[in-house]
Amino acid sequence: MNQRQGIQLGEEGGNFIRRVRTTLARRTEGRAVALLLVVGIGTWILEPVVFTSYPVTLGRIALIGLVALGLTVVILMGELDLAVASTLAVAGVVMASIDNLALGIVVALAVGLVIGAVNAFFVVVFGINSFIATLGMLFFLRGAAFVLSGEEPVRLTNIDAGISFGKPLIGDFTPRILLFILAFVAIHIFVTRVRVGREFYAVGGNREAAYDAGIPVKRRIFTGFMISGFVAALAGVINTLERTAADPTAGSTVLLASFAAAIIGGVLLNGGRGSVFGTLLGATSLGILQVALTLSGVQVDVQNIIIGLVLLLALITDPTTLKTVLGNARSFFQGRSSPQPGG
Amino acid sequence: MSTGFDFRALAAIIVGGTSVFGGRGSVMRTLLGVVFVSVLTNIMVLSGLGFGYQQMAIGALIVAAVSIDALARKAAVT
Repeated sequence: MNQRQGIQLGEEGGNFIRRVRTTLARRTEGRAVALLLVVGIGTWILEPVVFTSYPVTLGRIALIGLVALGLTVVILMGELDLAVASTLAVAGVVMASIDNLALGIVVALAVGLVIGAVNAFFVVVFGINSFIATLGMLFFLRGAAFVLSGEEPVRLTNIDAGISFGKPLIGDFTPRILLFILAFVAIHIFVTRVRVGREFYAVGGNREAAYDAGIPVKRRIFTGFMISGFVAALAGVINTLERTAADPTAGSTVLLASFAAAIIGGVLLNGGRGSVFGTLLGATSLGILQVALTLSGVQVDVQNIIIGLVLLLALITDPTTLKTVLGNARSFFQGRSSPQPGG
Repeated sequence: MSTGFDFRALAAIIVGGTSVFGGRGSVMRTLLGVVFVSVLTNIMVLSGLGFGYQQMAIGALIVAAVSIDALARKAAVT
C-alpha cells in the first residue's frame, strides 16, 4: 500500500502497467479486497459450508450491506448518520401497525424519508454536528419504536405475503438479495454518473470550495440524509416482511456492522473519498466472516470483538492515516528524549 | 445489561454543556448534567412511563440541548 502512495495521482501512464498502477493508486478499495481475499480463502479452507450454502451468506451480506449503502452516501459528505439502525426499527413497527400491506410499506418508506429530512434539518439549519444530532435521533427513534409497538414485537397482518417474500424468486435469490443488488446498482450509478451524486464527493472533499463552485451544499446534505433514511427504512421493511413481525429492538447490531463495512470498503470518515463498490466488498467480507464464525459456533459477543478488531485494523491501515500514524508514533517516541518545539 | 449506559453518560455530558468539539466544558457541568439526566429518568420511572418514553426523552434532550447551544452561538456571532 505504501508503494502505491508514491505514484503521482494525475499521471497519464504511457504504458499499460503504469496505467494500471495509477488506477490502483486512485482506488480506495485496496483494504477491502485484501480482507475479502483473506476471509474468503480462510473460510474456503476452514468452513466451506459458507460457500455451498451461499443463499444464507448472501442474505447476511444483504442485511449488513443495505444499511451500509445508505450510510456510505452520508459519510461521503463527511457527515455521520447514527440513526440508521433506529430508523430501521421504527419503519418496521410503523409498517406492521398498518393493516394494509402496500399502504404500510409506502408509509414506512415515507417515515424513513422524513427522518432523514429531520436529521438534515438539525445538521444544516441549526448547524449541529451530525454525530450529536443523529445520536439524539438514535435514542428518540429507538424509544419511538418501543412506544409505537407497545414494547413487544408487532405481528404482520398479512403473514402469507411475508412468507412468500422469504422464498427464492429468481434462481436461489430471495427478493431481499435482489433488492439489495438493485439498491447497490442504483446508488452506484447515482454517485458516479449523476451530477447531483458526484457533487457529494465535492461536498465531502472541500465544503468551502464546493460552496464557492456554486454547489447547493445544504440541499445536497438534505438529499444525502434522506437517501440514508430511505434505505434504512427499506431495510426495516424487508426485515419485517421476512420475519412476519416487527421487533422494536431490530437492527441493534446492524449499526456497528454497517459502519465497519463502509470504513473497511475505503470510505474516508472525513468525506470526499470512497466508493459504493468498496462498501459492497466490505459488507461481503464481513458477511462471510459473520456466517463463518456463527457456523463454527463462535458466540455473538466474541463475533463483535472480532468485527471491532477488523474495524480498528481498517482504520489504522487507511493509506492516508497510516502515514500520519507512523509519523505520530515516531514523534511520540522521539519527543520523550528531545521535546519538539510546539509539539 | 449495560447497553445504553455509554450513551446516557454522553447525554449527561452534552446536557452539562461540554462542547463536543472540545475546548469548552468542565467536570462540574458534567456532574450537573448527570444529576439532571438521572432525576429526569427517575421522575419518568416513578410516574410509570415505559422504557420507550425514557429513550425518547433522552434523545429529545440531547438534540434540544445541542440545538439551543448552536443557536445561541449563532446569535452571539451575528
